[in-house]
Amino acid sequence: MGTYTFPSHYPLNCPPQPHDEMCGTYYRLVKNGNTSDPAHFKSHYEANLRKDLESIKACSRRAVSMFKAYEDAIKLSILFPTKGKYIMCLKLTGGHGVVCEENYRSFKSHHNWWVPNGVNAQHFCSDIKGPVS
Amino acid sequence: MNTKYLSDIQGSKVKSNIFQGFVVKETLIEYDFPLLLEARSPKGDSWLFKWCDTIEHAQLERWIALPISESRLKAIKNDSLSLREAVTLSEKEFYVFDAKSFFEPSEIKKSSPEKLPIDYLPSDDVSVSGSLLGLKMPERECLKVRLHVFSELISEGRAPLSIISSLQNIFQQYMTWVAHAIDRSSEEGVPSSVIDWSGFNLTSVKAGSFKMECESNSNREQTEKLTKACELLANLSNGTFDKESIEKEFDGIYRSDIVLLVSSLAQFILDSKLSMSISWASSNNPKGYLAIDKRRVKKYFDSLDSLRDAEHVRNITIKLTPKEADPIRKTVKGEGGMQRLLRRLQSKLKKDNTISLSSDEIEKILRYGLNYGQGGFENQLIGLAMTLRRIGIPFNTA
Repeated sequence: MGTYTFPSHYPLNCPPQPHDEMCGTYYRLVKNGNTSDPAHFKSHYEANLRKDLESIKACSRRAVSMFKAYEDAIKLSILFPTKGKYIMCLKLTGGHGVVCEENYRSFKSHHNWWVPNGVNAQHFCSDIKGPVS
Repeated sequence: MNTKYLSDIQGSKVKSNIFQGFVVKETLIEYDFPLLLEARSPKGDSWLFKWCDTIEHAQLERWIALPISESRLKAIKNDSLSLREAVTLSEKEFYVFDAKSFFEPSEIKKSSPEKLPIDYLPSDDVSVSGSLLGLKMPERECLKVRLHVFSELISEGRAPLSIISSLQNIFQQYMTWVAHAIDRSSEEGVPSSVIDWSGFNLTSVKAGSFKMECESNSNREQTEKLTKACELLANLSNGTFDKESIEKEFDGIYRSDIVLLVSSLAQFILDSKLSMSISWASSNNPKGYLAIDKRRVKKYFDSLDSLRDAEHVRNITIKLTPKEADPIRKTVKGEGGMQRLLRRLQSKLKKDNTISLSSDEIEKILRYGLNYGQGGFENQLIGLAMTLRRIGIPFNTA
Protein backbone atom coordinates (compact mmCIF):
# COMPACT_ATOMS: atom_id res chain seq x y z
CA MET A 1 0.00 0.00 0.00
CA GLY A 2 1.32 3.44 -0.90
CA THR A 3 1.97 6.26 1.54
CA TYR A 4 -0.06 9.28 0.71
CA THR A 5 -0.35 12.86 1.81
CA PHE A 6 -3.79 14.40 1.79
CA PRO A 7 -4.85 18.04 1.76
CA SER A 8 -4.33 19.85 5.06
CA HIS A 9 -8.07 20.41 5.54
CA TYR A 10 -8.60 16.64 6.11
CA PRO A 11 -9.60 15.87 9.70
CA LEU A 12 -7.65 13.54 11.95
CA ASN A 13 -7.92 9.82 11.06
CA CYS A 14 -9.22 10.60 7.60
CA PRO A 15 -9.18 8.52 5.42
CA PRO A 16 -10.28 5.89 7.92
CA GLN A 17 -8.17 2.89 8.90
CA PRO A 18 -7.97 0.05 8.07
CA HIS A 19 -8.29 0.31 4.33
CA ASP A 20 -7.15 -1.71 1.38
CA GLU A 21 -5.50 -0.70 -1.82
CA MET A 22 -8.48 -1.26 -4.13
CA CYS A 23 -8.01 -1.57 -7.86
CA GLY A 24 -10.36 -2.24 -10.73
CA THR A 25 -13.28 -0.61 -12.47
CA TYR A 26 -15.62 1.81 -10.68
CA TYR A 27 -18.54 3.93 -11.83
CA ARG A 28 -19.44 7.48 -10.83
CA LEU A 29 -22.56 9.43 -11.66
CA VAL A 30 -21.77 12.82 -13.23
CA LYS A 31 -23.78 15.68 -14.68
CA ASN A 32 -22.44 15.84 -18.24
CA GLY A 33 -20.62 13.79 -20.84
CA ASN A 34 -17.46 15.93 -20.93
CA THR A 35 -14.61 13.65 -19.82
CA SER A 36 -12.32 16.57 -18.95
CA ASP A 37 -14.76 18.51 -16.71
CA PRO A 38 -12.91 18.99 -13.39
CA ALA A 39 -16.27 19.42 -11.61
CA HIS A 40 -16.83 15.66 -11.94
CA PHE A 41 -14.32 15.00 -9.16
CA LYS A 42 -15.12 17.73 -6.68
CA SER A 43 -15.94 16.42 -3.23
CA HIS A 44 -18.75 18.09 -1.29
CA TYR A 45 -16.07 19.89 0.71
CA GLU A 46 -14.39 21.25 -2.43
CA ALA A 47 -17.73 22.25 -3.92
CA ASN A 48 -18.55 24.01 -0.64
CA LEU A 49 -21.76 22.00 -0.22
CA ARG A 50 -23.54 20.52 2.81
CA LYS A 51 -21.52 22.51 5.30
CA ASP A 52 -24.22 21.67 7.84
CA LEU A 53 -22.92 18.09 7.90
CA GLU A 54 -19.28 18.96 8.53
CA SER A 55 -19.53 18.12 12.21
CA ILE A 56 -20.85 14.59 11.63
CA LYS A 57 -19.50 13.54 8.22
CA ALA A 58 -16.31 15.54 7.80
CA CYS A 59 -14.32 12.70 6.27
CA SER A 60 -17.05 11.57 3.84
CA ARG A 61 -17.48 15.20 2.70
CA ARG A 62 -13.89 15.06 1.39
CA ALA A 63 -14.34 11.82 -0.56
CA VAL A 64 -15.48 11.18 -4.12
CA SER A 65 -18.36 8.67 -4.28
CA MET A 66 -18.40 5.84 -6.78
CA PHE A 67 -19.85 2.37 -7.29
CA LYS A 68 -18.38 -1.01 -8.02
CA ALA A 69 -21.64 -2.04 -9.74
CA TYR A 70 -22.82 -0.18 -12.85
CA GLU A 71 -26.46 -0.93 -11.90
CA ASP A 72 -26.11 1.07 -8.68
CA ALA A 73 -25.16 4.16 -10.69
CA ILE A 74 -28.23 3.63 -12.88
CA LYS A 75 -30.50 3.26 -9.83
CA LEU A 76 -29.16 6.45 -8.26
CA SER A 77 -29.82 8.33 -11.50
CA ILE A 78 -33.37 6.93 -11.66
CA LEU A 79 -34.20 7.80 -8.05
CA PHE A 80 -32.50 11.21 -8.02
CA PRO A 81 -32.08 12.41 -11.61
CA THR A 82 -30.54 15.72 -10.50
CA LYS A 83 -27.54 13.76 -9.18
CA GLY A 84 -26.58 13.21 -12.81
CA LYS A 85 -27.52 11.24 -15.88
CA TYR A 86 -24.08 10.25 -17.14
CA ILE A 87 -22.01 7.36 -15.86
CA MET A 88 -18.26 7.74 -15.77
CA CYS A 89 -16.10 4.62 -15.90
CA LEU A 90 -12.94 4.81 -13.76
CA LYS A 91 -10.08 2.34 -14.04
CA LEU A 92 -8.18 2.55 -10.78
CA THR A 93 -4.71 1.13 -10.37
CA GLY A 94 -2.30 1.11 -7.44
CA GLY A 95 -1.03 4.47 -6.24
CA HIS A 96 -4.29 6.35 -6.75
CA GLY A 97 -5.19 6.96 -3.11
CA VAL A 98 -7.52 5.32 -0.63
CA VAL A 99 -10.79 3.58 -1.46
CA CYS A 100 -13.13 2.29 1.25
CA GLU A 101 -16.46 0.54 1.07
CA GLU A 102 -19.34 2.47 2.59
CA ASN A 103 -22.35 0.28 1.85
CA TYR A 104 -25.77 1.83 1.78
CA ARG A 105 -29.05 -0.07 1.88
CA SER A 106 -29.99 1.08 -1.62
CA PHE A 107 -26.50 1.11 -3.12
CA LYS A 108 -24.59 -1.83 -1.80
CA SER A 109 -21.51 -1.34 -3.98
CA HIS A 110 -20.88 2.25 -2.89
CA HIS A 111 -17.25 3.23 -2.20
CA ASN A 112 -15.55 6.43 -1.09
CA TRP A 113 -12.36 7.53 -2.79
CA TRP A 114 -10.00 9.95 -1.05
CA VAL A 115 -7.74 11.44 -3.70
CA PRO A 116 -4.26 12.29 -2.36
CA ASN A 117 -2.15 15.31 -3.18
CA GLY A 118 -0.45 15.05 -6.54
CA VAL A 119 -2.99 12.63 -8.06
CA ASN A 120 -5.15 13.90 -10.92
CA ALA A 121 -8.41 11.96 -10.69
CA GLN A 122 -9.28 12.79 -14.30
CA HIS A 123 -6.50 10.51 -15.52
CA PHE A 124 -8.50 7.49 -14.37
CA CYS A 125 -11.59 8.32 -16.40
CA SER A 126 -11.78 5.90 -19.31
CA ASP A 127 -15.26 6.63 -20.62
CA ILE A 128 -18.58 8.41 -19.94
CA LYS A 129 -21.87 6.87 -21.00
CA GLY A 130 -25.29 8.43 -21.00
CA PRO A 131 -27.65 10.00 -20.57
CA VAL A 132 -29.51 7.44 -18.48
CA SER A 133 -33.11 7.42 -19.73
CA MET B 1 -38.18 25.02 -16.08
CA ASN B 2 -35.86 27.46 -14.30
CA THR B 3 -35.66 26.30 -10.70
CA LYS B 4 -32.92 28.52 -9.38
CA TYR B 5 -35.38 30.04 -6.94
CA LEU B 6 -38.29 28.46 -5.11
CA SER B 7 -40.44 31.26 -6.53
CA ASP B 8 -39.97 29.61 -9.95
CA ILE B 9 -42.05 26.63 -8.77
CA GLN B 10 -45.83 27.05 -8.76
CA GLY B 11 -47.52 26.80 -5.39
CA SER B 12 -48.64 28.84 -2.43
CA LYS B 13 -46.27 30.02 0.27
CA VAL B 14 -46.83 28.66 3.76
CA LYS B 15 -45.33 29.41 7.15
CA SER B 16 -41.71 28.29 7.34
CA ASN B 17 -42.10 26.71 10.78
CA ILE B 18 -44.52 23.93 9.82
CA PHE B 19 -41.89 21.25 10.42
CA GLN B 20 -41.11 22.49 13.90
CA GLY B 21 -40.87 19.58 16.34
CA PHE B 22 -40.47 16.95 13.58
CA VAL B 23 -37.93 14.22 14.27
CA VAL B 24 -36.13 11.88 11.86
CA LYS B 25 -37.19 8.31 12.50
CA GLU B 26 -35.21 6.49 9.83
CA THR B 27 -32.94 7.20 6.88
CA LEU B 28 -34.42 5.23 3.99
CA ILE B 29 -31.96 6.20 1.24
CA GLU B 30 -28.47 7.50 1.72
CA TYR B 31 -25.81 8.42 -0.81
CA ASP B 32 -23.06 10.58 0.65
CA PHE B 33 -25.81 12.08 2.80
CA PRO B 34 -29.42 11.20 3.65
CA LEU B 35 -31.60 11.62 0.56
CA LEU B 36 -34.85 10.06 1.78
CA LEU B 37 -36.04 10.26 5.36
CA GLU B 38 -38.97 9.01 7.35
CA ALA B 39 -39.94 11.62 9.90
CA ARG B 40 -42.56 11.96 12.61
CA SER B 41 -44.59 15.09 13.27
CA PRO B 42 -45.28 16.15 16.89
CA LYS B 43 -48.80 14.68 16.37
CA GLY B 44 -47.27 11.30 15.50
CA ASP B 45 -48.00 11.36 11.74
CA SER B 46 -45.46 9.81 9.39
CA TRP B 47 -43.88 11.96 6.70
CA LEU B 48 -41.48 11.37 3.83
CA PHE B 49 -38.75 13.91 3.08
CA LYS B 50 -37.09 13.46 -0.29
CA TRP B 51 -34.04 15.40 -1.40
CA CYS B 52 -34.43 16.96 -4.86
CA ASP B 53 -31.58 19.31 -5.68
CA THR B 54 -28.74 21.50 -4.48
CA ILE B 55 -29.21 25.20 -5.08
CA GLU B 56 -25.54 26.01 -5.33
CA HIS B 57 -25.70 29.80 -5.57
CA ALA B 58 -27.53 29.96 -2.24
CA GLN B 59 -25.93 26.87 -0.69
CA LEU B 60 -29.38 25.48 -0.04
CA GLU B 61 -30.80 21.97 -0.40
CA ARG B 62 -34.22 21.60 -1.97
CA TRP B 63 -36.55 18.96 -0.54
CA ILE B 64 -40.09 17.78 -0.92
CA ALA B 65 -42.15 16.66 2.06
CA LEU B 66 -45.40 14.72 2.17
CA PRO B 67 -47.42 12.95 4.84
CA ILE B 68 -47.71 9.21 4.27
CA SER B 69 -50.07 6.59 5.70
CA GLU B 70 -48.72 3.68 7.71
CA SER B 71 -49.80 1.16 5.03
CA ARG B 72 -47.90 3.04 2.31
CA LEU B 73 -44.87 3.43 4.54
CA LYS B 74 -44.90 -0.30 5.15
CA ALA B 75 -45.22 -0.90 1.39
CA ILE B 76 -42.22 1.35 0.73
CA LYS B 77 -40.14 -0.50 3.27
CA ASN B 78 -41.07 -3.97 2.02
CA ASP B 79 -40.30 -3.04 -1.59
CA SER B 80 -43.86 -3.28 -2.92
CA LEU B 81 -44.22 0.46 -3.55
CA SER B 82 -41.76 2.46 -5.60
CA LEU B 83 -40.56 5.87 -4.51
CA ARG B 84 -41.99 7.34 -7.73
CA GLU B 85 -45.48 6.07 -6.90
CA ALA B 86 -45.25 7.19 -3.27
CA VAL B 87 -44.35 10.71 -4.37
CA THR B 88 -46.52 11.17 -7.47
CA LEU B 89 -49.58 9.69 -5.76
CA SER B 90 -49.17 11.66 -2.55
CA GLU B 91 -52.19 11.10 -0.34
CA LYS B 92 -52.56 14.55 1.20
CA GLU B 93 -50.50 17.72 1.19
CA PHE B 94 -47.30 18.14 -0.77
CA TYR B 95 -44.61 20.66 0.12
CA VAL B 96 -41.40 21.82 -1.52
CA PHE B 97 -38.84 23.75 0.48
CA ASP B 98 -35.30 25.08 0.57
CA ALA B 99 -33.19 24.59 3.67
CA LYS B 100 -29.65 24.98 4.88
CA SER B 101 -30.33 22.91 7.93
CA PHE B 102 -32.93 20.15 7.93
CA PHE B 103 -36.39 20.97 9.40
CA GLU B 104 -35.47 24.64 9.36
CA PRO B 105 -36.55 25.72 5.89
CA SER B 106 -35.89 29.23 4.70
CA GLU B 107 -38.97 29.07 2.47
CA ILE B 108 -41.79 26.53 1.96
CA LYS B 109 -44.45 26.19 -0.71
CA LYS B 110 -47.50 23.97 -0.85
CA SER B 111 -47.39 22.50 -4.33
CA SER B 112 -48.06 19.25 -6.23
CA PRO B 113 -45.87 16.67 -7.99
CA GLU B 114 -46.77 17.79 -11.51
CA LYS B 115 -45.66 21.35 -10.77
CA LEU B 116 -42.11 20.23 -10.05
CA PRO B 117 -39.31 19.88 -12.61
CA ILE B 118 -39.43 16.34 -13.94
CA ASP B 119 -35.93 15.64 -12.59
CA TYR B 120 -37.14 16.11 -9.02
CA LEU B 121 -39.11 12.87 -9.33
CA PRO B 122 -37.76 9.35 -9.88
CA SER B 123 -37.76 8.48 -13.57
CA ASP B 124 -38.74 4.84 -13.04
CA ASP B 125 -40.04 2.47 -10.38
CA VAL B 126 -37.22 1.57 -8.03
CA SER B 127 -37.71 0.60 -4.39
CA VAL B 128 -35.83 2.20 -1.52
CA SER B 129 -33.64 -0.87 -1.22
CA GLY B 130 -32.71 -0.58 -4.88
CA SER B 131 -34.97 -3.27 -6.40
CA LEU B 132 -36.26 -2.57 -9.89
CA LEU B 133 -40.07 -2.61 -9.77
CA GLY B 134 -40.77 -1.18 -13.24
CA LEU B 135 -42.43 -3.05 -16.08
CA LYS B 136 -40.02 -5.18 -18.03
CA MET B 137 -39.99 -4.75 -21.77
CA PRO B 138 -42.11 -7.48 -23.35
CA GLU B 139 -40.12 -10.08 -25.21
CA ARG B 140 -42.47 -10.09 -28.20
CA GLU B 141 -43.95 -7.20 -30.19
CA CYS B 142 -46.82 -6.02 -28.00
CA LEU B 143 -47.89 -3.46 -25.45
CA LYS B 144 -47.58 -4.37 -21.80
CA VAL B 145 -49.71 -2.43 -19.32
CA ARG B 146 -49.80 -2.45 -15.54
CA LEU B 147 -52.42 -0.82 -13.36
CA HIS B 148 -51.33 -0.38 -9.74
CA VAL B 149 -54.48 0.49 -7.83
CA PHE B 150 -54.58 2.00 -4.34
CA SER B 151 -57.70 1.92 -2.19
CA GLU B 152 -58.60 1.52 1.45
CA LEU B 153 -61.03 -1.22 0.37
CA ILE B 154 -58.20 -3.58 -0.56
CA SER B 155 -57.10 -5.96 2.16
CA GLU B 156 -54.13 -8.31 2.25
CA GLY B 157 -54.78 -10.97 -0.37
CA ARG B 158 -58.23 -9.69 -1.39
CA ALA B 159 -59.14 -7.15 -4.04
CA PRO B 160 -62.78 -6.14 -4.74
CA LEU B 161 -63.94 -7.86 -7.91
CA SER B 162 -66.18 -4.88 -8.77
CA ILE B 163 -63.15 -2.58 -9.00
CA ILE B 164 -61.12 -5.09 -11.03
CA SER B 165 -63.87 -5.80 -13.57
CA SER B 166 -64.91 -2.16 -13.94
CA LEU B 167 -61.35 -0.99 -14.48
CA GLN B 168 -60.76 -3.75 -16.99
CA ASN B 169 -63.91 -2.80 -18.91
CA ILE B 170 -63.32 0.93 -18.94
CA PHE B 171 -59.62 0.73 -19.72
CA GLN B 172 -59.95 -1.82 -22.48
CA GLN B 173 -62.87 0.00 -24.04
CA TYR B 174 -60.79 3.17 -24.08
CA MET B 175 -57.79 1.41 -25.61
CA THR B 176 -59.83 -0.29 -28.32
CA TRP B 177 -61.67 2.85 -29.25
CA VAL B 178 -58.60 5.08 -29.44
CA ALA B 179 -56.65 2.53 -31.46
CA HIS B 180 -59.52 2.58 -33.99
CA ALA B 181 -59.77 6.36 -33.91
CA ILE B 182 -56.06 6.69 -34.64
CA ASP B 183 -56.52 4.53 -37.70
CA ARG B 184 -58.85 6.85 -39.58
CA SER B 185 -58.22 5.05 -42.84
CA SER B 186 -59.66 1.82 -41.45
CA GLU B 187 -62.55 0.59 -43.53
CA GLU B 188 -63.93 -1.30 -40.58
CA GLY B 189 -65.14 1.93 -39.05
CA VAL B 190 -65.92 2.47 -35.39
CA PRO B 191 -66.52 -0.76 -33.48
CA SER B 192 -70.05 -1.05 -32.21
CA SER B 193 -69.18 -3.07 -29.14
CA VAL B 194 -66.37 -3.47 -26.67
CA ILE B 195 -63.55 -5.47 -28.18
CA ASP B 196 -61.48 -7.30 -25.61
CA TRP B 197 -57.97 -6.53 -26.80
CA SER B 198 -56.36 -8.36 -23.93
CA GLY B 199 -57.15 -9.86 -20.54
CA PHE B 200 -55.74 -8.45 -17.34
CA ASN B 201 -54.16 -10.77 -14.78
CA LEU B 202 -54.13 -9.92 -11.11
CA THR B 203 -50.41 -10.11 -10.29
CA SER B 204 -50.29 -9.06 -6.64
CA VAL B 205 -52.62 -8.02 -3.81
CA LYS B 206 -51.24 -6.33 -0.71
CA ALA B 207 -52.97 -4.38 2.01
CA GLY B 208 -54.12 -1.16 0.34
CA SER B 209 -53.14 -1.96 -3.25
CA PHE B 210 -53.23 -4.47 -6.06
CA LYS B 211 -51.54 -4.79 -9.42
CA MET B 212 -53.09 -6.05 -12.65
CA GLU B 213 -51.16 -6.55 -15.87
CA CYS B 214 -51.88 -7.43 -19.46
CA GLU B 215 -50.17 -7.84 -22.79
CA SER B 216 -51.86 -6.97 -26.05
CA ASN B 217 -52.28 -9.49 -28.82
CA SER B 218 -51.17 -7.07 -31.49
CA ASN B 219 -48.85 -6.70 -34.42
CA ARG B 220 -46.30 -3.90 -34.70
CA GLU B 221 -48.74 -1.43 -36.26
CA GLN B 222 -51.44 -2.09 -33.67
CA THR B 223 -48.93 -1.90 -30.83
CA GLU B 224 -47.92 1.56 -32.02
CA LYS B 225 -51.55 2.69 -31.89
CA LEU B 226 -52.18 1.20 -28.46
CA THR B 227 -49.03 2.88 -27.14
CA LYS B 228 -50.26 6.18 -28.55
CA ALA B 229 -53.59 5.60 -26.78
CA CYS B 230 -51.74 5.33 -23.46
CA GLU B 231 -49.81 8.52 -24.19
CA LEU B 232 -53.01 10.35 -25.04
CA LEU B 233 -54.56 9.20 -21.78
CA ALA B 234 -51.55 10.64 -19.95
CA ASN B 235 -51.94 13.98 -21.72
CA LEU B 236 -55.65 14.19 -21.08
CA SER B 237 -55.56 13.21 -17.45
CA ASN B 238 -52.43 15.18 -16.60
CA GLY B 239 -54.61 18.25 -16.94
CA THR B 240 -52.77 19.24 -20.11
CA PHE B 241 -56.02 18.91 -21.99
CA ASP B 242 -55.30 20.58 -25.29
CA LYS B 243 -58.38 20.91 -27.42
CA GLU B 244 -56.56 22.03 -30.56
CA SER B 245 -54.13 19.13 -30.67
CA ILE B 246 -56.92 16.62 -30.05
CA GLU B 247 -59.03 18.20 -32.79
CA LYS B 248 -56.07 17.97 -35.12
CA GLU B 249 -55.55 14.33 -34.26
CA PHE B 250 -59.10 13.03 -34.30
CA ASP B 251 -62.36 13.54 -36.15
CA GLY B 252 -65.34 14.92 -34.23
CA ILE B 253 -67.11 11.66 -33.45
CA TYR B 254 -63.88 9.97 -32.36
CA ARG B 255 -62.83 12.99 -30.33
CA SER B 256 -66.06 13.10 -28.38
CA ASP B 257 -65.86 9.39 -27.64
CA ILE B 258 -62.26 9.57 -26.50
CA VAL B 259 -62.97 12.41 -24.11
CA LEU B 260 -66.02 10.53 -22.93
CA LEU B 261 -64.07 7.36 -22.24
CA VAL B 262 -61.36 9.22 -20.35
CA SER B 263 -64.17 10.88 -18.40
CA SER B 264 -65.61 7.44 -17.59
CA LEU B 265 -62.29 6.32 -16.16
CA ALA B 266 -61.91 9.59 -14.27
CA GLN B 267 -65.45 9.38 -12.88
CA PHE B 268 -64.87 5.80 -11.78
CA ILE B 269 -61.70 6.83 -9.93
CA LEU B 270 -63.58 9.67 -8.25
CA ASP B 271 -66.60 7.55 -7.29
CA SER B 272 -64.52 4.61 -6.06
CA LYS B 273 -62.14 6.84 -4.09
CA LEU B 274 -59.08 5.17 -5.52
CA SER B 275 -55.81 6.29 -7.01
CA MET B 276 -53.63 4.43 -9.45
CA SER B 277 -50.50 4.42 -11.51
CA ILE B 278 -50.59 3.21 -15.09
CA SER B 279 -47.31 1.94 -16.53
CA TRP B 280 -46.85 0.76 -20.08
CA ALA B 281 -43.98 -0.63 -22.12
CA SER B 282 -43.55 -1.34 -25.81
CA SER B 283 -40.85 -0.88 -28.38
CA ASN B 284 -42.36 2.56 -29.09
CA ASN B 285 -42.23 3.70 -25.47
CA PRO B 286 -40.43 1.44 -23.00
CA LYS B 287 -41.19 3.59 -19.93
CA GLY B 288 -44.69 5.07 -20.06
CA TYR B 289 -46.08 6.25 -16.73
CA LEU B 290 -49.15 8.07 -15.51
CA ALA B 291 -50.27 8.82 -11.96
CA ILE B 292 -53.98 9.47 -11.58
CA ASP B 293 -55.90 10.33 -8.41
CA LYS B 294 -58.83 12.37 -7.11
CA ARG B 295 -56.93 15.66 -7.33
CA ARG B 296 -55.89 15.12 -10.94
CA VAL B 297 -59.37 13.90 -11.90
CA LYS B 298 -60.93 17.06 -10.49
CA LYS B 299 -58.41 19.12 -12.43
CA TYR B 300 -59.31 17.20 -15.57
CA PHE B 301 -63.04 17.86 -15.11
CA ASP B 302 -62.30 21.51 -14.41
CA SER B 303 -60.45 21.75 -17.70
CA LEU B 304 -63.40 20.13 -19.48
CA ASP B 305 -65.81 22.57 -17.83
CA SER B 306 -63.79 25.59 -18.89
CA LEU B 307 -63.63 24.18 -22.39
CA ARG B 308 -67.40 23.84 -22.51
CA ASP B 309 -67.89 27.32 -21.08
CA ALA B 310 -65.85 28.73 -23.92
CA GLU B 311 -68.01 27.03 -26.53
CA HIS B 312 -71.35 28.02 -27.90
CA VAL B 313 -73.98 26.23 -25.80
CA ARG B 314 -77.15 25.14 -27.51
CA ASN B 315 -79.91 22.76 -26.59
CA ILE B 316 -81.03 19.79 -28.64
CA THR B 317 -84.44 18.16 -28.54
CA ILE B 318 -84.81 14.46 -29.26
CA LYS B 319 -87.69 12.00 -29.18
CA LEU B 320 -87.04 8.80 -27.24
CA THR B 321 -88.60 5.41 -27.79
CA PRO B 322 -90.68 4.06 -24.85
CA LYS B 323 -87.84 1.59 -24.16
CA GLU B 324 -85.40 4.49 -23.77
CA ALA B 325 -87.75 6.78 -21.87
CA ASP B 326 -89.28 4.35 -19.35
CA PRO B 327 -86.10 3.71 -17.30
CA ILE B 328 -85.68 7.48 -16.81
CA ARG B 329 -89.13 7.67 -15.20
CA LYS B 330 -88.25 5.12 -12.49
CA THR B 331 -88.17 6.39 -8.89
CA VAL B 332 -84.84 7.83 -7.85
CA LYS B 333 -83.58 7.61 -4.28
CA GLY B 334 -80.51 9.33 -2.84
CA GLU B 335 -78.71 12.63 -3.26
CA GLY B 336 -75.66 11.97 -5.45
CA GLY B 337 -74.73 13.76 -8.69
CA MET B 338 -76.28 11.05 -10.82
CA GLN B 339 -79.52 11.09 -8.86
CA ARG B 340 -79.77 14.86 -9.30
CA LEU B 341 -79.22 14.46 -13.02
CA LEU B 342 -81.95 11.79 -13.26
CA ARG B 343 -84.46 13.98 -11.38
CA ARG B 344 -83.69 16.88 -13.69
CA LEU B 345 -84.21 14.65 -16.73
CA GLN B 346 -87.50 13.38 -15.28
CA SER B 347 -88.72 16.96 -14.96
CA LYS B 348 -87.72 17.68 -18.57
CA LEU B 349 -89.07 14.49 -20.14
CA LYS B 350 -92.43 15.27 -21.71
CA LYS B 351 -95.40 12.93 -22.02
CA ASP B 352 -94.73 12.42 -25.73
CA ASN B 353 -91.18 11.23 -24.79
CA THR B 354 -89.40 14.30 -26.17
CA ILE B 355 -86.65 15.84 -24.11
CA SER B 356 -84.55 18.96 -24.53
CA LEU B 357 -80.94 18.59 -23.38
CA SER B 358 -78.11 21.07 -22.80
CA SER B 359 -74.51 20.25 -23.68
CA ASP B 360 -73.74 19.93 -19.96
CA GLU B 361 -76.51 17.36 -19.53
CA ILE B 362 -75.42 15.46 -22.62
CA GLU B 363 -71.88 15.17 -21.31
CA LYS B 364 -73.11 13.87 -17.97
CA ILE B 365 -75.53 11.39 -19.57
CA LEU B 366 -72.77 9.99 -21.73
CA ARG B 367 -70.30 9.89 -18.87
CA TYR B 368 -72.61 8.15 -16.42
CA GLY B 369 -74.61 6.13 -18.91
CA LEU B 370 -71.64 4.54 -20.62
CA ASN B 371 -69.77 3.83 -17.41
CA TYR B 372 -70.05 0.10 -17.92
CA GLY B 373 -70.15 -2.30 -15.04
CA GLN B 374 -71.59 0.10 -12.50
CA GLY B 375 -75.20 -1.06 -12.51
CA GLY B 376 -77.93 0.77 -10.58
CA PHE B 377 -78.65 4.30 -11.72
CA GLU B 378 -76.37 3.99 -14.76
CA ASN B 379 -78.79 1.45 -16.21
CA GLN B 380 -81.48 4.12 -16.25
CA LEU B 381 -79.29 6.25 -18.52
CA ILE B 382 -77.87 3.65 -20.90
CA GLY B 383 -80.76 3.89 -23.38
CA LEU B 384 -80.57 7.67 -23.57
CA ALA B 385 -76.77 7.59 -23.79
CA MET B 386 -76.86 5.07 -26.63
CA THR B 387 -79.40 7.22 -28.49
CA LEU B 388 -77.11 10.22 -28.24
CA ARG B 389 -74.23 8.12 -29.50
CA ARG B 390 -76.32 6.70 -32.33
CA ILE B 391 -77.28 10.12 -33.65
CA GLY B 392 -73.63 11.21 -33.41
CA ILE B 393 -73.79 13.98 -30.85
CA PRO B 394 -70.25 15.31 -30.62
CA PHE B 395 -69.65 15.53 -26.89
CA ASN B 396 -67.86 18.87 -26.58
CA THR B 397 -69.59 20.74 -29.40
CA ALA B 398 -73.17 19.84 -28.53
